[in-house]
Amino acid sequence: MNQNTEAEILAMIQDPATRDTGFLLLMNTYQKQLYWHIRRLVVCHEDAEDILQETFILVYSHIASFKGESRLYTWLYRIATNECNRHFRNKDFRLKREELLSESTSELAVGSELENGDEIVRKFQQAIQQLPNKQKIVFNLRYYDELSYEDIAQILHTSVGTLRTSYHFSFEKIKKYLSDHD
Amino acid sequence: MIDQKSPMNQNAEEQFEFLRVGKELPYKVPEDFFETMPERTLQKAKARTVNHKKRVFFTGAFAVFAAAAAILVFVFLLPNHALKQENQLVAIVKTLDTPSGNAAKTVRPITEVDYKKTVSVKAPAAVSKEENLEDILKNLSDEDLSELLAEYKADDLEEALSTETTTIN
Repeated sequence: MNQNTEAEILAMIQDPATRDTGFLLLMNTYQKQLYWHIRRLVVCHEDAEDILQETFILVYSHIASFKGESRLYTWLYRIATNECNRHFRNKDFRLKREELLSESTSELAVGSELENGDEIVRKFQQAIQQLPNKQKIVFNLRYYDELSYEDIAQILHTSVGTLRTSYHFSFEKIKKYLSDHD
Repeated sequence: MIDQKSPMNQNAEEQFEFLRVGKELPYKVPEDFFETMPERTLQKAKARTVNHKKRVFFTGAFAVFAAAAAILVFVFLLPNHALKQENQLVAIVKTLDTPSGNAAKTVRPITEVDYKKTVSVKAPAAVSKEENLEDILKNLSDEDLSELLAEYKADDLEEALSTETTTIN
């Protein structure tokens, strides 16, 4: 996504006459990226759908407060990530996660959401789900979304050094999980 | 968006690739999900904006109403409270005026009409009474007044006054 398109979308949203069209354009541009970012974190499609919708509703009502100090997509990722963090604190999610992580049911629980793919892909997802939330977010943003550490630092309000360390620990944990469950 | 990969990350990705993991995801999305999502979200966002505006309006209206009610209460209750305090003082002073201390019979609480008279129109008869009271009050220090009030409470004068007031009424 280049700066010009971002600027065009913002201009459309900020003009009352083209606000809705601009918002739809914004959603069509970013919804898939954000959906997958959320889905990888919360696993369940229904949860991901709710969080994605909430993210864009927040964008719709707070777009006027976007000052353009960061790129639009990092702002969107930040809102989505904050919503995921809010979801992680939810009691129901914690229960679901405990169930997900319990050794006896992990295959079943994750398996219900894992519709296809090789065994190794399923195991890889299970390994990622074992990570603490912060590490999971960093790992996904870096590995799947291929965001730069600078962008991730903006999204998570943290330093590049911390992120590098976090990614390294995530990688080590995933590797260990995969070798233990080989 | 993608920066130069550090050796550490290159190593990580090479290893994951070696495990044939890649970036494939094993999740499925319902059909037409991405086609219908923008319009559904827009409708929800609009509805919430309208509700938010309504909530802001009603909160504002309630705040104005509450402030007005507080002002009215302040305006109507404060003069009555001042009148009550003045009555209490008059009762104490009159009790002290009589040598036997049996002046409770002569004490008549100031009514609202009296209060208004003293505040607005000062009739000649009332002036002397007010001057007298003012002189006494001027000569009393704060300590004297607090002492009097304490005595007044301790001697059950209140009870005597209320009995007498009932009799007079």
